[in-house]
Amino acid sequence: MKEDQEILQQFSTDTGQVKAFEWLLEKYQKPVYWHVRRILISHDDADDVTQNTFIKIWKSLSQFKQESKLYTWIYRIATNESINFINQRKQHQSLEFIESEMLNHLTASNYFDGNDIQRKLQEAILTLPEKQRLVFNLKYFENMKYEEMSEVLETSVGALKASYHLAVKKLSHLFTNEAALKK
Amino acid sequence: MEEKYTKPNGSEGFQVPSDFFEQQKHQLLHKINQGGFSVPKSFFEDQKNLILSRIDAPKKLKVYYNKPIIWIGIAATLFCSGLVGYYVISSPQKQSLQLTNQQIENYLIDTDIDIEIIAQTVSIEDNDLQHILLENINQDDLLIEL
Repeated sequence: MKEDQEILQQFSTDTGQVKAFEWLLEKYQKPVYWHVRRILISHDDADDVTQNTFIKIWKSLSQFKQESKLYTWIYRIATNESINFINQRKQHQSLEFIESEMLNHLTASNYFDGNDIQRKLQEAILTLPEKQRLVFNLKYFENMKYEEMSEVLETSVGALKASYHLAVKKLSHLFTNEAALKK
Repeated sequence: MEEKYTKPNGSEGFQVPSDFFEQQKHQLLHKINQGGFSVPKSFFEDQKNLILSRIDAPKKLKVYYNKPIIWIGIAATLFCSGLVGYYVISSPQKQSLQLTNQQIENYLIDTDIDIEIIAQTVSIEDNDLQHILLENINQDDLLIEL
């Protein structure tokens, strides 16, 4: 797997752009897909948005000024594409409908093979507000540093820490309440 | 190849393949990290090829058609407006739409999107639509200029 700098260097050559993009795909296609999938839940939606993300990256990579890491720049595009996708749907469908469809994908999709605990965790994450969901996913599943997350979500580190803290607290409450109800 | 087995500490005589725990750890971590989501077999390879085919396209294709073939206009409008465009070809279950005019027509009729029919000239920048047009349209009806 190529280093980001090598990818950028190759992309800056006259004839090496496609090769560089192939390296970039090799390195980032799966992480980006999983990131988008955790936001959109549906496999088909995540497929479409991932493709759009990489087409956008292809079109704008020549303007990438290296003011942030390539990795966080890519994640920012993927995150924005995912949020735009949801916002476009919100113009035609209610948020309740979109969320219930996401929940449905967790229970009825062929492409969810997690165990009960994983399903419950995903269902609980879906109850969080959008920003907290994003922060929780990036921290919990991807172990992203707050400084990097700050570049991706364009939010201060302090606010991100607060969001993560709130998200964990809400999820703990949910699971504690569920456990208490079972007793 | 002969598989190597080891007796780890606490195994009480049971054996496991020598790389078993490393493999198991890798699999579990992978699964946990994806949060339980999975994808169809060979999905990433197919998606990579699709993305590469989308960037490896001529930048513009102009299509002039002599007869008012309504669905070309519909398809072109949807593609150009970005409402359906890539979606038609990128979702695996809809790829069959590339096969026949009838299937595309049926799909387009099923959409609720407002349709503007383009009657004369269509300028298309989407490689996927080029593909559909070239594969499915009667060449006599078209003058295609690359």
